Amino acid sequence: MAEKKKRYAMVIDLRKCVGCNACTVSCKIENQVPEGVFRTWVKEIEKGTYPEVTRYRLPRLCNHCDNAPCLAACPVQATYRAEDGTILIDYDHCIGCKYCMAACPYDARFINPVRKTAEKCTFCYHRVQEGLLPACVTTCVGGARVFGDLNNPKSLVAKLVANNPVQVLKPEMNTEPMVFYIGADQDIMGARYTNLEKGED
Amino acid sequence: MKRREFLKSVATVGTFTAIGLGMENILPDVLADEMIANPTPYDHEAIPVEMKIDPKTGNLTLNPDIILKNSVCLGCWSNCGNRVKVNKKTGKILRVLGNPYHPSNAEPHLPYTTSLKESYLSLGQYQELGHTQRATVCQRGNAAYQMVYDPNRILTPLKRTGQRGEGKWKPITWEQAIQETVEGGELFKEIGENGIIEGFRQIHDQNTPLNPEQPGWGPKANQLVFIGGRDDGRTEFPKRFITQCFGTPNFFGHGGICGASRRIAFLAFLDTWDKKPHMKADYMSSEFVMFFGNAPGQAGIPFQPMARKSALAQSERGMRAVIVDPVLQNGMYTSPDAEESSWVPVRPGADGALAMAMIRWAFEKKKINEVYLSIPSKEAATKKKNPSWTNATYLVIQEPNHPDFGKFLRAEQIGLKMPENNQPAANTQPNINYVAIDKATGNPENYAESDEGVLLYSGKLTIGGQEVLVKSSLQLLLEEANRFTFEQYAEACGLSKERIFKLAKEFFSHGTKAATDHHGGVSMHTNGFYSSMAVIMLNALVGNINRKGGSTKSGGGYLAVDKGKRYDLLTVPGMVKAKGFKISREGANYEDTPEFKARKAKGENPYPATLPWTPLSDALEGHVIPSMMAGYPYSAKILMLWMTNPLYATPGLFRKEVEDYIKDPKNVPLIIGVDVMMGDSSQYSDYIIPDTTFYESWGVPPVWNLILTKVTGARRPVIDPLVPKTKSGQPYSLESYLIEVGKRLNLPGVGDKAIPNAQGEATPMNSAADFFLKAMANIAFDETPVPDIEVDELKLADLEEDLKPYQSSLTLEEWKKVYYLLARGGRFEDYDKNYDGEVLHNKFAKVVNIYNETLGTIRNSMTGELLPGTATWQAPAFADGRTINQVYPDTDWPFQVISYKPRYRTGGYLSNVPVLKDMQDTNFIELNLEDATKLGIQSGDKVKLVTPSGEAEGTVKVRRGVRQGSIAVEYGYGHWGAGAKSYTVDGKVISADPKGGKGVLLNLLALRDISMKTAHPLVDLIGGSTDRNTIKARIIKL
Amino acid sequence: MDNVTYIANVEHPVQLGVMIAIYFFYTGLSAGAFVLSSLGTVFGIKKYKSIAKAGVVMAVALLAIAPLHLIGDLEQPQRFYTLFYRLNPRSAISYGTFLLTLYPLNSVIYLWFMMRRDFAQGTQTLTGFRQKLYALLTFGKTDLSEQALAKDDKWIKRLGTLGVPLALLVHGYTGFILANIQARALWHTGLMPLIFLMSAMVSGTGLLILVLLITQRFYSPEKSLTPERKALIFDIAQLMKWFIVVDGTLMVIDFIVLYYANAAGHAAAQLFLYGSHKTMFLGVEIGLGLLVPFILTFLPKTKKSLGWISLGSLLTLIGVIAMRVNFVIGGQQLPLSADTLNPYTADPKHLLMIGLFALAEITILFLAFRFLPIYGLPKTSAPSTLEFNIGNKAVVK
Ligand SMILES: Nc1nc2c(c(=O)[nH]1)N[C@H]1C(S)=C(S)[C@@H](COP(=O)(O)OP(=O)(O)OC[C@H]3O[C@@H](n4cnc5c(=O)[nH]c(N)nc54)[C@H](O)[C@@H]3O)O[C@H]1N2
Ligand SMILES: Nc1nc2c(c(=O)[nH]1)N[C@H]1C(S)=C(S)[C@@H](COP(=O)(O)OP(=O)(O)OC[C@H]3O[C@@H](n4cnc5c(=O)[nH]c(N)nc54)[C@H](O)[C@@H]3O)O[C@H]1N2
Ligand code: SF4
Ligand code: SF4
Ligand code: SF4
Ligand code: SF4
Ligand code: SF4
Ligand SMILES: [Mo]
Repeated sequence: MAEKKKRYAMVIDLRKCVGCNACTVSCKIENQVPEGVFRTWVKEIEKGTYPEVTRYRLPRLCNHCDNAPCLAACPVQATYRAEDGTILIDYDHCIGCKYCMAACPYDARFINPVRKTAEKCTFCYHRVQEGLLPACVTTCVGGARVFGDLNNPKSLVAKLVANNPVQVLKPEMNTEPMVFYIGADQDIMGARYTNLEKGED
Repeated sequence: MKRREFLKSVATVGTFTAIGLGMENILPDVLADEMIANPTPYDHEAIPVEMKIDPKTGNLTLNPDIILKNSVCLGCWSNCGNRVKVNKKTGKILRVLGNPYHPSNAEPHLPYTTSLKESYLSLGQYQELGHTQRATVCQRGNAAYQMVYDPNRILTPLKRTGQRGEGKWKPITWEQAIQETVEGGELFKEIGENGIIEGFRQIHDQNTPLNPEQPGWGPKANQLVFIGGRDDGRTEFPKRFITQCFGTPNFFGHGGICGASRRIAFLAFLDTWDKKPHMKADYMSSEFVMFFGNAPGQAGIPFQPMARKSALAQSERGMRAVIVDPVLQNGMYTSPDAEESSWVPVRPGADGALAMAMIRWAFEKKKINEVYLSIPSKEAATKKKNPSWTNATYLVIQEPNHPDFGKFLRAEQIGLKMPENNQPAANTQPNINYVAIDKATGNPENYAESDEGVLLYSGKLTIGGQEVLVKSSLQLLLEEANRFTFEQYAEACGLSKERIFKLAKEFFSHGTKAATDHHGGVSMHTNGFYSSMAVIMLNALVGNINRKGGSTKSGGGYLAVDKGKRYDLLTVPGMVKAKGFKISREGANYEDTPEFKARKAKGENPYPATLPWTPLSDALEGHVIPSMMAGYPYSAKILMLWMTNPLYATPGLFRKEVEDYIKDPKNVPLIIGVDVMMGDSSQYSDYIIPDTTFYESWGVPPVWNLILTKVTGARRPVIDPLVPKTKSGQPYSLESYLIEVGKRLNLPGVGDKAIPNAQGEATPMNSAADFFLKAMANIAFDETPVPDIEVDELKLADLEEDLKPYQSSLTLEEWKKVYYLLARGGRFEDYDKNYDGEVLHNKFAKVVNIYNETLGTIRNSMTGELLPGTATWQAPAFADGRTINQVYPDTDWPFQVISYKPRYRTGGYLSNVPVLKDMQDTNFIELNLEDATKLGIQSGDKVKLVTPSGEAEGTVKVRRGVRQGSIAVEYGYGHWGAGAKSYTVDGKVISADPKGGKGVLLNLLALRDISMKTAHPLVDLIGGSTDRNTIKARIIKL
Repeated sequence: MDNVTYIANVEHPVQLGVMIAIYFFYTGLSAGAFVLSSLGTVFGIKKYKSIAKAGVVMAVALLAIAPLHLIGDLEQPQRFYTLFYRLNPRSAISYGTFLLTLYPLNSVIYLWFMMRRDFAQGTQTLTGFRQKLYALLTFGKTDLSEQALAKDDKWIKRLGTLGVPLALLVHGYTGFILANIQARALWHTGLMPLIFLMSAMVSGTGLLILVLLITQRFYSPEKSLTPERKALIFDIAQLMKWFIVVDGTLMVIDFIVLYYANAAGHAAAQLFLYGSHKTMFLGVEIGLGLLVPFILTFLPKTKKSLGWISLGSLLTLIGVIAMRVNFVIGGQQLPLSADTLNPYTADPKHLLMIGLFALAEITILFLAFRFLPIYGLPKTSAPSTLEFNIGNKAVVK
């Protein structure tokens, strides 16, 4: 029978993430992301009581959710889903209403200050279409980022997901993220409300 | 697609289906499209892809507008490979990727003979090769190319039109720059600075002593002082020119401000002073690695492979990493459900105490590897199938005031009969007959005669009728270890005895699969050398040398700038041998200097020396300017700066008086900076010579140790240099400049008869290409020569096209192989050469030194005392022996500030790279949470950091991962040049980036050695390091 | 005790800002005003008849300006029209687009039927500018016969009946937009539409009272607040009191739910009850916006004093603005991936727009009340009968 539809996903094995941010930098260069905004970034926390302190990292990007609130929110279908599951934004039709940003539970989106439209990680659609890997994956120093077709059981991502306890961000949102983590610490995966006031002005 | 998506979504909302479908059908397609169509491909901004790789077949369709070129990165000193993506139409670099052939980029790296086309598959999804052959560059390697296009990049020679450092310049022609710097004269008359300045020609004088009273210091030629950064694969060129063609000993790398003490400690450990081996741990096969002040993923050389290998080893090979560091850096993974952290927050400067305590524990608990340590010779080692042996059992003369105190006992001294066959295997070991107490007989024996020596021995032997106290090397180490109690060690390093024991216990419980790794954190202290020795010694005590999962001297490289198969790049026909002493007071015993002799002759106590001498060390950039200022041993007449930023980078150097000194031409008549930007230091030059960046220049960079297989990178211009070309068609660059200077002075080693080939005929050296291509020929022909290049690969890499101008540099036969090498970005031994069974393939083939004779027989030039010949614990101290804490007690200076490498910069450099600035444009004063709470300080607060040498204001970042009582400040910020200060060229303002100078530069606050007569950074008297991590401080909330 | 410290993250500023908050405020006012106007025409509560037109005029005028805020907030305002045909059936805003068009359309026609008679008569009885204007506005429908007028009333009823749900929807959906955003704890509650509706009613009545006070005094034919008008205003004020009560109750329920909801919800509640937003929430929104007006409309003394009532009404407006700001912006300040509040700084450009739009609003209201026969025709012949007749007509049915 005809082969299964593709479903691209990323697995980030945090045991291998060295926090170098080569991913962040390569993404900015590959996708010409303007100053001050990021499609991917590496969140870091320190946890524990001195001297029993450990440091955790969490590379972040759009989850290309299977059940994507941003997709539902967009009033003009500028946010759309490609056949391979990738969630994309049509910059020529985005009106910049920002509802998708309000709707995304993951802070994955931002307004491109130059183009004046919503923007986010595209899973490097332009590379993946050509059979290449995303920029951030290709340059991942620790080898933490793995990308591929989750619907192909032979793919590395599929195997990793099958053979490891994987985590996704905010499962309670039922967004069914397509970015999976291995070995993430709970305290880095969401927001933290314990010292909120620090930030307000 | 969109249509289906639309319908799907429509369907989800019953009521609207009608409308939805309605619109789909009713409206004309264009409109319908406009209504819900989304374009594919949709992304306008992303840079064009290099090729298409069919995920099923792996077929490649190349993008004709784009070319990939393998070369070598220099985003930091690690010299990883890279694969530069260049836009053929614009000739501009689009992006930088990793080179899958290069072991620093990939784990494992591709077999060398893999075709270029196949190597492209490492970018794609086909058979997951993009993951299994993933080749990376780090955050800086990705971004560094942007410095090439820095709008403020210096492209023409500049001459100052104001005072030094005033920032007034005018462009001059290349020819004028050469003319004036070579011939000298009244160069700055027009700005009212009369007085004749001597150029290269006047200084190039091998006969007139620079100091008539004490001719021993050397000739006037020595007053040309050249400071040039790093082992970047280019350094060999200026080094050869300065030392062999011009003939001054004063060529300096930056070792002394980098990690010198560690390197020197390894030289003592390995007793190899000519080449510079040092060891790293073989993470991939190790079970337990202690990283002392060298967190992988934070910094380290080589940065990438350290980060990658340790990450893979921890996640896939069950290696456990422990980070001994006042700052909790990246580099170790601790599972969320691990019950204890692997962070060991040691007190800065006290690694020696921790390591010596572990050593003492190992002795007491009998955990040392006795089998290994008792092997006295290579022969015995071979018998016992051990890949290494040590001098642990060799006897050392310890009789007080015996003329040979500190020397190894020689067999002949106690009248042992010489064995007939004492021709040791090919010069693996100097032909000396050491003595060990033979385990079997219990008698002193020629080490070569004994299969197993006694490890701990202390007793008297008769030498020339006199009873002389001798001790085994290991005995000396034991005694050093026992000089302090565990309580004292614990107190010193700020860790509990229990924690120390725990670490020792674990370290000594993995057989030979435990190892230490260390770098700047340990070595950049006044005790850096001995602390390094202690950390290194742990490896000898577990016996992991040359073993899989142990310590490796690394694969090393192929013969390049060397006496190679094709060219002899070591000998310069008619070269001059530099005479006298180095201005940095390095590489010579004080006792041999004119000062010592003169004072001795006068009958006065020759100690302390005016300024300290560092006989074992080299590349002491940090000592040069202090020497110049003190006029001791002498002053300089021409100072050249290239790839270096000494005023910024040297801890405890730059202050007002130093700036004043540099600014005044009377002190240093001529300063020539070769730079790509108006650097913090180069801005004080009289002339600035533009240079090629590492994407535009040639080089044969080795990789810093860690890689188990042989590596030699080949760097070539991957783009047409932005700098203009000279009349002879060479890009403005350091090399072109030196060659033309050399020709003008008709120095040996430049021009048409410069480099001897294998047949001994002199061949030309008229360009950088000439020199480096010849070095590459050596690499290509070393051992079994590399294959000839295939035609299609020649095309793929655009090699012929790119290298047309240089065809004359090599013979056709050589080109074929050099092309092959260039296509792959260097020459790399295959991954399967990592191991031979349980031992490393590339081994250190000489004796390992528990005690080093050279070390044990030189004197401290300040006190006149002999140095300990093995590892020991010394508290950080001034040259006169007073400890830092005695002079700056905790009561007044409760904190100790250390610095660590910037994540988004490299030393002072890359501060002009936009995308890196976007990542982080300033640093912080990082405080421990409890300390901050005590002081009522929060993240974001402004504070004043006060040290004995100065103060600075900064913003606080409160962290859990900073040691209590320590403060951490990231290096690489707080520039006052390098884009942070605007200057004018011909009145036209080159404006500064307001963000350029943000942050604090700790070096301005670092300690100086107050016990010295003149301004001098705090230094390690043996290793030569400038201390950057013992800075006592207090903090004031603003 | 917290045992985590953030050392690296990226900041995510609030996206939907003050423009959206103010937009919600306008739609709220509009809806409120419309519902009140319908009390007379649709629910046949006689005494509200006389303010029906005023209410609708306000509803229309407010909704004419409201969407400008939306458009002004777009990063690509020039693409706003695509909202009409690039529909996303799963996006509340897509529906909103149509509500926002249908509702004012309906209201305008509705209003026309209410005024047609005045226009017709005006064309005959009046002279000068008004005469011409009214003549134009009759669109030729000058038939004043019984059945014609009866037909008008039928239409008034019909359109009004359609208008009420539209008005409720128009505003309900704004609450719904927020409610169905699961990501934002503060918004994601079924109560959100109701809360929005109730605060809409509160502010709607508030504004209506103020408008009636001013316009009846200055622009009605009588140029005075006749006793029955006063009485009516006090009645409306009592309505407002009940709206306040309901609104307040909803708030209380909402926050109880929040407080005991998940961590995010709890944090949101904390933020508003103890945290940095307590002044804006407890102080302005609840205190000034609900409590004080309640007291003013409750106490026997004040509830019969135009002065106090108008103060109360003014306060409800301020309170509801605060409410819109608190919920829209505060809702997004609660971090999704950070450990500090997401920063928000109002774009000066937006503040300027808001000012200009407000001016436009006032001008429109002024012109409308100045020139349209909202309180009947200027006194020429037997105005009172006219008034009376309309009254009759409506009752007789
Ligand atoms: N990101 C990045 N990487 C780099 C460079 C860079 O500039 N940026 N530079 C390259 C260069 S030139 C070099 S030489 C290498 C240097 O590599 P490293 O020597 O590993 O780097 P450093 O940051 O100098 O020091 C290492 C660690 O020592 C810690 N430390 C400070 N004082 C002490 C101490 O007394 N004891 C112990 N145990 N630790 C201490 C610091 O917190 C720091 O984490 O890095 C190379 N890699
Ligand atoms: N406090 C503190 N001090 C430190 C360190 C620390 O960790 N903390 N680290 C130390 C270490 S390990 C090192 S290696 C040194 C590094 O210090 P340096 O060896 O001085 O290296 P950089 O500071 O990077 O300066 C290199 C200079 O070369 C110039 N340059 C860059 N690219 C080119 C080029 O292509 N051509 C030419 N001609 N010039 C170029 C730039 O102007 C730059 O200023 O700093 C040391 N100082
Ligand atoms: S590049 Fe890979 S290792 Fe480095 S930070 Fe990103 S995910 Fe982690
Ligand atoms: S992460 Fe956010 S932006 Fe990405 S798909 Fe999910 S909801 Fe949409
Ligand atoms: S900002 Fe653009 S992508 Fe996001 S919802 Fe609005 S139109 Fe859609
Ligand atoms: S997949 Fe591409 S767009 Fe997404 S984070 Fe990685 S590099 Fe950026
Ligand atoms: S580690 Fe250094 S050399 Fe290697 S890629 Fe990064 S910057 Fe370049
Ligand atoms: Mo260095």
